[in-house]
Amino acid sequence: MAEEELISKKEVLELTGISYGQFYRWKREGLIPESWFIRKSTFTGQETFLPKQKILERIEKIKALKDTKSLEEIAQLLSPELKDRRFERDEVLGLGWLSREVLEYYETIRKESGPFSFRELIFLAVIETLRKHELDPEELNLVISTLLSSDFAKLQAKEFAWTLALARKELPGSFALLSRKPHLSFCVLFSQECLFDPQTQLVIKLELSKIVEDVKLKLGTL
Amino acid sequence: MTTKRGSLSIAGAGKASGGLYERVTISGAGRVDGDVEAESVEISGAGKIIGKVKANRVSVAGACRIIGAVTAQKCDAAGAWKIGGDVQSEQFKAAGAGKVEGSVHAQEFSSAGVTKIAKNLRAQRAKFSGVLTADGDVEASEFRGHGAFRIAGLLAADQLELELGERSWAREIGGECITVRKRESLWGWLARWWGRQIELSAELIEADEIHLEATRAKIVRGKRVTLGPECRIERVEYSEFLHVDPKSVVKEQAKLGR
Repeated sequence: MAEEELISKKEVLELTGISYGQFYRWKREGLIPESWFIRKSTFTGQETFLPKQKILERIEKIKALKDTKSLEEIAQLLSPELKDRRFERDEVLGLGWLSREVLEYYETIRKESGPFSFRELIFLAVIETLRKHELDPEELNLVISTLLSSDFAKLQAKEFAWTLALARKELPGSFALLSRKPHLSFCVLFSQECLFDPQTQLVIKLELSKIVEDVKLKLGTL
Repeated sequence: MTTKRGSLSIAGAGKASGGLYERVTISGAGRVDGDVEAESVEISGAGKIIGKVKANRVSVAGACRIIGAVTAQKCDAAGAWKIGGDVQSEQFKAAGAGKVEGSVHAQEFSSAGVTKIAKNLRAQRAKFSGVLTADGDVEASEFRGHGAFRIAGLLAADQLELELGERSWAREIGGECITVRKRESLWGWLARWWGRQIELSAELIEADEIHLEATRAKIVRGKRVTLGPECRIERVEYSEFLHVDPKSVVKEQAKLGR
């Protein structure tokens, strides 16, 4: 897995056009996590760097929200802390980001319908994202069972800094006659980094923290 | 809660254990062992609480120690005090020569005298006179003070106004509007006479609006930068405006295209 691309604080301000005041205020209000700040020495001395993709996406989100919401409200939306709220079936569908198919599919696995916990909304959002990829039904089941068996408190404790990956590996042997080579699929849930052998094909890589953020943003429009 | 709590009062050299109280008053060399939760806690003299304190009002005066975190609405500390944990209080007034061995989290923070914070200070409004030291970061919406500050990490505020009375430093200073002025005082005059330079030093100063005097920095970066007398800056990067006093030195300057 490639190392995260970094960007200097100076470049962040240049690219996004936000003011110094805004940047420091957002940091203070917790809109930009402390853990993103990386100090590195350069030829001009020490400089602060941030993960490029994350910070640029975050600033776009804040910009989009800041006219209608207070910084405190935005901080709450962005923070991975959870409320013990439960969401009714119609309420979830009414938000418009979840398809009826996915919801019904999930309900058949769960064997009952609504209300859903925040945890389940995240799983639903993952399934919704997976729908865009062409997965075998078994593979989808693999992902869902991995999520369902995961320790949610553990995921939460690390602020959802977890990655969900679905990998395929072709089975050796002479299957030349078959149009599609048989493969073995497996699902991995890891924090930080994970290396696979070169023969492994990564079908899907999802960052849970992003999904959590998206769900919260969408709930914020309730 | 409707149950009536008892009050604890120690005068002289007494000892008691922690618990739930209405009022706790320690004067003299009293000592409380254990966590204390009360409406008000008042320590004067050489009192000591070995534990955490949670109260509406906490007031400490004299050579007092609280070996634990303090959570309060209003907290006043004066004398040669020491708090062994984090302080979380709507209002925190520090005076004398005190030390917090954790972080301070307050809406209103004020310090007069010499206050040391072992970790971070985070406040809505912070003001100080005298010397303020923090071994972590200091972040506030408004930060004003005169005297000296020594901050090991970042000093950030929307509005930052400083009057330098002694040598000060911070690794990085950032915010919206930063104003640093040198205050002429008898002490300053004496210091100069001793060959001691009164100045602010920082690696990086970054804000939309910057006014500096007597500052030494590697990089100053901002929209509008005004450098008054006695500045020595290695590199200034500005996007709209730069003014440099003839008594200041800037090695390199660049206009940013933003």
